[in-house]
Amino acid sequence: MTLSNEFTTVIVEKIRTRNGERLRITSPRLGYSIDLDPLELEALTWQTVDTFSRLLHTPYGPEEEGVDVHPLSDLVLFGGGDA
Amino acid sequence: MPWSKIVGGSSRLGELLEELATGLEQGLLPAGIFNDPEIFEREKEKIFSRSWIFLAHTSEIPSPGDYVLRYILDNAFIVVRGEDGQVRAFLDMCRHRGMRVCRAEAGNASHFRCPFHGWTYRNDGALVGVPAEREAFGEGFSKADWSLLPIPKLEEFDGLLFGNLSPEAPSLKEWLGDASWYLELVTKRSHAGLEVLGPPQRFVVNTDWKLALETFISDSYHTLMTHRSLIELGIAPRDAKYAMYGEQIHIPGKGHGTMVVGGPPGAKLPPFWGYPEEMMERAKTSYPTRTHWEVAKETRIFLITLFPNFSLHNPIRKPDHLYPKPVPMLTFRVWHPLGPGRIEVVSWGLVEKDAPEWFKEKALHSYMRFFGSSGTFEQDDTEIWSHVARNAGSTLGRRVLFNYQMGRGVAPDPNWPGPGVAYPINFTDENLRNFYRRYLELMLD
Ligand code: FES
Ligand SMILES: [Fe+2]
Repeated sequence: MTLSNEFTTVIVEKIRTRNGERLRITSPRLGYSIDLDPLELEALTWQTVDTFSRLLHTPYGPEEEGVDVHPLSDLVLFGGGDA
Repeated sequence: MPWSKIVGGSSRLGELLEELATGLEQGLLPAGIFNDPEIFEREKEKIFSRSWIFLAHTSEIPSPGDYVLRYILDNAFIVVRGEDGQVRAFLDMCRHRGMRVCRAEAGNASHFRCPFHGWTYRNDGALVGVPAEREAFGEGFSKADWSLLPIPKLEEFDGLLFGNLSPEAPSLKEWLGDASWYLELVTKRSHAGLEVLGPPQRFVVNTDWKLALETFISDSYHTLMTHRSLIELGIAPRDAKYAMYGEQIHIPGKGHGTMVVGGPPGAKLPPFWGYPEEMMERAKTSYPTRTHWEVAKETRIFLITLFPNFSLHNPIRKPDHLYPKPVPMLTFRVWHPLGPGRIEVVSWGLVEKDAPEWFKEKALHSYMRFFGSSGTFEQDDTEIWSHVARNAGSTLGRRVLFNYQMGRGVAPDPNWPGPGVAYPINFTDENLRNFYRRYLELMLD
């Protein structure tokens, strides 16, 4: 089953493992996927909108903490003078 | 937040400028300056009537008689190379009764003949033909007094022709100041210089000229979201924050700004924008200093915006999802103001004259795919700019204050080898705060 709106598209499907079932939710554009078992799904039923507001903090999925941002000047050799 | 906290006062011209003056250093700008008839009238007089405005690149008019029509505000100028090889620009207005004497956007002509009563001008502006001259005007008539009117000022920088409506304007060199060091990263990348890839594309967008240029002087932050589809397609680098990894540099007192972006950490992007290696090697002898070359070698995306409305964008891009290698493209653009909340974008694609032929073709494809009327990036941007301008002109929206606070408090990079004030991260509004300082200075003058 595909659900789309003006912001994104997700695919929801029931998958079978050797011994049971899970619900797979896939974001084809970002390449993320999660397989939720019934217990996790049940836990979703008592979440409030706040939970999802927190999850939506970043638009591309989780961000790496503390990415090293080096200034470009680190890469530029200071030759100076004439070419 | 209560409404009273986020809105400024009334939106009359004086109060808008007052709000801009009080809010600027805190990074608060009134939306109303982006779509207001009174602001626009003042910009015409205070900014566009005395700033250097880009008109043409000399490669558009290489031979005697070649001309293009170009505009500053509502004034049409014939930019033409005379039979003597010299480039001039004339107001396209017959001295007899004001008819247009040139009615094609580009062409080659030794003379321009007015379709009204037939006065005829040589391409150096001289009036050479007046029908029935003696019978109609008598013996004393002096054609020398009735030449086409030259633009008050016309100057060239490395093939870039700029005009100025004010005879009192400072020289182009003085106007550019240290921005010329950065312009040279592009204009002196080869001994042969640049050439245009065909005539410019032109299209009208319902937005303000300042909103458009913001993207090209500072706002790399928007690529995260505005151009997300291109990241998803793998055409822009996979790291959505790719445009963050660079230096943002402004020229204090002048309003100009530039962005020199390297590669995201770990991204395998070729040096020197991905230009063919032979071009990179040749640049060692064409650049004025070794520092130019060292900076260029680490550059993947480069933008510069000259106050008020000329921008240049030179990014490395994958021409499409099928072509295996990234190919850089270069565009010049003028954000030509038509009215409040309305501009015409004039967009050129350019390439080094001595680049290999296969590369010129790829660079043209790259340009057309991403910029210009059908370009993906351009379409993303213009759609958004038009809604911002619409909100900025709305009765309530015009009083809202915008946030220009990104990067406040970040210290300049002491190691940057070029001129101007450099910041070590490109996600900052520093160039914009500098731009609006200059804007305000002229608007209040
Ligand atoms: S207006 Fe041009 S000849 Fe009369
Ligand atoms: Fe953009």
